Amino acid sequence: VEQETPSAPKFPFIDWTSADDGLESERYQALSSFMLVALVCHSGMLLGLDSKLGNLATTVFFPAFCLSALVGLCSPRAKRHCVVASFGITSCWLFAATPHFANHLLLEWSVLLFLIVCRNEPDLALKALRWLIFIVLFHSGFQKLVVGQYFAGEFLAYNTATLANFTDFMGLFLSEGEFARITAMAGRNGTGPYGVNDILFVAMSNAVWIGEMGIAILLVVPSTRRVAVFAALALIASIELGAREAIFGFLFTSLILAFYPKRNGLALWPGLATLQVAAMLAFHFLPELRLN
Amino acid sequence: LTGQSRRTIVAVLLMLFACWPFVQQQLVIHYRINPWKLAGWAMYTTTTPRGNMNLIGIDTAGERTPLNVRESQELFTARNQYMSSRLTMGLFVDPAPVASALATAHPKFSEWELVVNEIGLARDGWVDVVHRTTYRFARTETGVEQVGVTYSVPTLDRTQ
Repeated sequence: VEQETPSAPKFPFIDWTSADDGLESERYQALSSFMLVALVCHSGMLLGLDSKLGNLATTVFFPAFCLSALVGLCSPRAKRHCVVASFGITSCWLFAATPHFANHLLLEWSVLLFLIVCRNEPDLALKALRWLIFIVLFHSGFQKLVVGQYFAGEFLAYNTATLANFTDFMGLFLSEGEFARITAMAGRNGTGPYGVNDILFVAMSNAVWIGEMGIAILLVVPSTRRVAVFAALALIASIELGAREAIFGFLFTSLILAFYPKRNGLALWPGLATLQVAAMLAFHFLPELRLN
Repeated sequence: LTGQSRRTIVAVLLMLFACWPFVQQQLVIHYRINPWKLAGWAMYTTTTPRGNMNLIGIDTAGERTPLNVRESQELFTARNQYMSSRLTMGLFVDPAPVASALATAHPKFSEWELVVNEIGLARDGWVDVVHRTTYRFARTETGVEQVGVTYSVPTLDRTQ
């Protein structure tokens, strides 16, 4: 008697990022809740901005995201509809900001897209989101490799010379002489070279693109995933000490935690969402922190 | 949606996300798109582009005269709008509105040049003009039209 065998799943590479710990459904719910708050915080950064986008954020996006988050977090049954609503509002925001939209916004839009497409299959949603994180991390490093302004620390030195946030942090890794030389140039036209001779600074600069590409690969391999999560969190923390894009940092941390096995990563989403709200408030009320 | 069709959609989306940065990279190299923009995940790879524009009037004898952008509010606005778009969308942005405003503000010339300098961190680690485009416009029977474009940078080396 011939038995019908189930057909093999299409595109088996999607399963390389599976977790197989039975917690994907909970992760899906946690990430959905986090994203509802994340969009409130991101749109909240635009409040008071004297531009078309600032006006749209104040009158439409921020109130709509707040309503969506409020309903979604209070009513588990309505949450999936609120995710769809937030996706719709994010799409309008993306359209209004094109072509000047930030990659941060596109990442949020993409996460929501996968949450919606796979709403009846949380396992698939999480696998897709892990691939999305791999793509973002790997390309971030690969683009730095191609452009080639990290090999001698040029880009970080230029930022140290021109941006106070980087001056505070990266200045700690430069010798007194190099720091004085770099900051005196102040990024003016015709100044240079911004390549640095300090080994520690150059090593840190190269660690960024190597780390981004390397960690992306290690996150996909199940046996190295746990270590890679910690490495990724350390990388994000070190980048954010200079860039101070706190809202993006917490979003990416939350997405990286989707790789962490067992329940521990899940427990952190309310804390990360709270930190995002705090960062949004600090952006408006504590400008001396220079958050972006 | 069936499970298999959902997997197909996810796979197609992932492949698009994975391949698009290579396309964006080529747009940056060949069309001067802002590397920070358009989903190439190339934030913090190089400085955010800044730039300026020089305006030159050329009379029938070939005499070149630098022109002041602030002499006309319309020209000033057109220049600012162009530069804002140019530093994001690169060579895809049409400079014709600037040329038209320039011809209106300085009608005594027969030709006009718009020189767009993109300033950034060059490959040799110096802050310099990393790309220069010179657009040439002339008055024709149908109005002010572009008659040429040249890209003089990057070709210069530091000794020059």
